[in-house]
Amino acid sequence: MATYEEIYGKRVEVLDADPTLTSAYEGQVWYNSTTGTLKSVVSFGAWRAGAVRSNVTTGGTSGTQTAGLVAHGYDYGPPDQSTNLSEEYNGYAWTSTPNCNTSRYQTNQTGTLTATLSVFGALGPPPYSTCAKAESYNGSTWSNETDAPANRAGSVPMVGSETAFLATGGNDTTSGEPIDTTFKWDGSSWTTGTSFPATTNSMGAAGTQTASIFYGGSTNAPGSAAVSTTAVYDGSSWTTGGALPAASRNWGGKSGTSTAALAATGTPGPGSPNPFTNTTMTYDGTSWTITPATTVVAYGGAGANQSGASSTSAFISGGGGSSNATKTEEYDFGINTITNAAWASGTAINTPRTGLSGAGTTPAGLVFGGYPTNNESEEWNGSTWTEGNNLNTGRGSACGFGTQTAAVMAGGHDQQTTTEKYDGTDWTNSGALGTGRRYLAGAGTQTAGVAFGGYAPPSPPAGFGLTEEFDGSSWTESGDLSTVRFALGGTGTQTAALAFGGATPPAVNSTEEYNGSSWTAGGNMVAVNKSNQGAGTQTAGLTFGGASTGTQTLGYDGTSWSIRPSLATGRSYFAGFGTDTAAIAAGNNPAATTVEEYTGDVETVTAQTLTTS
Amino acid sequence: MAHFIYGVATNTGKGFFTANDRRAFFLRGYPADVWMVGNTVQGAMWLAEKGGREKTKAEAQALIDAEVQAAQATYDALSDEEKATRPGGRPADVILP
Repeated sequence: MATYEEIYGKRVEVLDADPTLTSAYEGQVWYNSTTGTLKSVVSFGAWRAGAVRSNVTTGGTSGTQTAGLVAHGYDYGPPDQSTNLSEEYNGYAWTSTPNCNTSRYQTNQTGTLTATLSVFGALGPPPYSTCAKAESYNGSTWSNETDAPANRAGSVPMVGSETAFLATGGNDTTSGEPIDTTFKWDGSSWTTGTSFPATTNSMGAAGTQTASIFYGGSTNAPGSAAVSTTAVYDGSSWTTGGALPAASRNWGGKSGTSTAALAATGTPGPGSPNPFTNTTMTYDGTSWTITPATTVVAYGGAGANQSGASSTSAFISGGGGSSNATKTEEYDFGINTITNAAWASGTAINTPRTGLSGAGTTPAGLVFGGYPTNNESEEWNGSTWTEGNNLNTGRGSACGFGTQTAAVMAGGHDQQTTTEKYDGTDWTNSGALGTGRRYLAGAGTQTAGVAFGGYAPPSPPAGFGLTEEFDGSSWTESGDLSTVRFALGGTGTQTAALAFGGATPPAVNSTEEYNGSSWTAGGNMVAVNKSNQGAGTQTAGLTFGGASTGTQTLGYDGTSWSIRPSLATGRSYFAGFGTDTAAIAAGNNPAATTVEEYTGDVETVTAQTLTTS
Repeated sequence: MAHFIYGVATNTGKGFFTANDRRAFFLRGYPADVWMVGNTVQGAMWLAEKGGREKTKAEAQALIDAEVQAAQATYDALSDEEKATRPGGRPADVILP
């Protein structure tokens, strides 16, 4: 066998501590002399917590980790019965979609977010009856399709797409006994395929209509023994696949292909100390392997609803009974440890206020001013707020930009033209804005800034489109916003700024991008909003809070906005600063001290300890 | 079983709710320190650990109403000139979903 030195041309390095890891370390090996372990960066699979859903419902899942769907299922809220609720997932947050046409539980579904087919299930309210209902979702609406040839329930295992669908097993209509019938759907009509080798329900599955594997399940009535057998389908006939390492049922999952499948959770057979497991297994076309990855929660029973496009990326949601039904977990196979984005409560600012401004980043930020005449500034170091020197003119509803040690505040609620600069210690007056106004937005640095929009009653009633550039000492007028507005969000730099939302006076959802001289249209926000705040850049922006949407957070990629995890508390007329991966929201209207901190998705290259097993 | 439980708990700042909490259960804050929490074991434990006092939805709404009405009264007492510059105008009613 070749040695490491023969392969890499060098010996294994001996280090006191693990190096600062990047993807360049993938495959390299070193010896950590402190821990006495041989380390390397190699791919591994892991589950992590995703966003929580608001509906306490089980349901079928389809799609992927960044474009997923949970629909139908059992609603644990009043009146405690089958539901027609449906939610979409974008990898950051769940949002409600239009309701399904029929309330059903014990359903299953397959396909993508924009082409899902949901079939069978139990119709409520009690007493439940099994059904042959089929519904499709195109990303915006649910439509009824031709009913399947027979009624089924028990989360019938299924694979494929909306137009090339395969389902087999499940429970029949009357006795709840497992059944072996196979059904196919081609997008317009149903046919019957070769029966499954044994009457089975509660199986998991992976693959397509013409190349799939169905695994585990129960060959008797629900609640009885699980099996470890699997069967592979080639589009016309079934053959025996590699057996599961242990008998298990209540899978419900469908991730990967017939030669690269992922199966997680389930209900083990008799003798297991636990009713559900958090085990993850992979299938390579021949045999199953139990992986070190375990789900955070041991789902099972009421639908272990896993979905994904491959065996290296999947999600689970809507399973595990009322305590776990709202949770989401995501699986990835790679060299990174991933932590999903979220807002958390932060250290409160010292002085309650509204209409305050902000600048900088976390952990080097600044808030200042506030309605009506607050002149205080507070510096943020990542854990505490420290009182800074006061503004010369106390005021709120101004714009703020720059850094903690080189910030700018311009304008004010009394339509001031006042501009002040902060050097990390003191505020000094600088050149006045050309047009005094309030509720304007700003971006850039102390020597290359830009202020835009705003309002100065009584006219013009719709606010300003005015844009002014700051060079560190004076303001120069530049190209106007296309949509005059105030109480808008802003971020970016003097040559690449972003304006979004605001009031005209009705709140708007439009975005404009500034190139240093003129504004052009950007992608619209998903909802109208005003007094929302912004952070980040023109191509990696974040907006959060606002009088119209309250808790909503959106991310901008230079083209379009998409939903991010929401604030816990709705905010308006507050201060926001930072980047699209590390932002601060401080204050509120009415005046408050509360703060929330946003941390975006964090991916960290992670070393693994090599063992001899 | 209701989808949510309601409670009153004082936001103590950093650590009051963590990113892990946000990924574990639904949480939404309202005026008067009212919190709407996902009705799961972890949601209920969080409210208890924060010294929260559980309320019915009606009780929680009444607390919110009282706080908002106080803010509205403060606004209504302002002069027209002060009202014109008040961020956000008259505080709007907040209704628990």
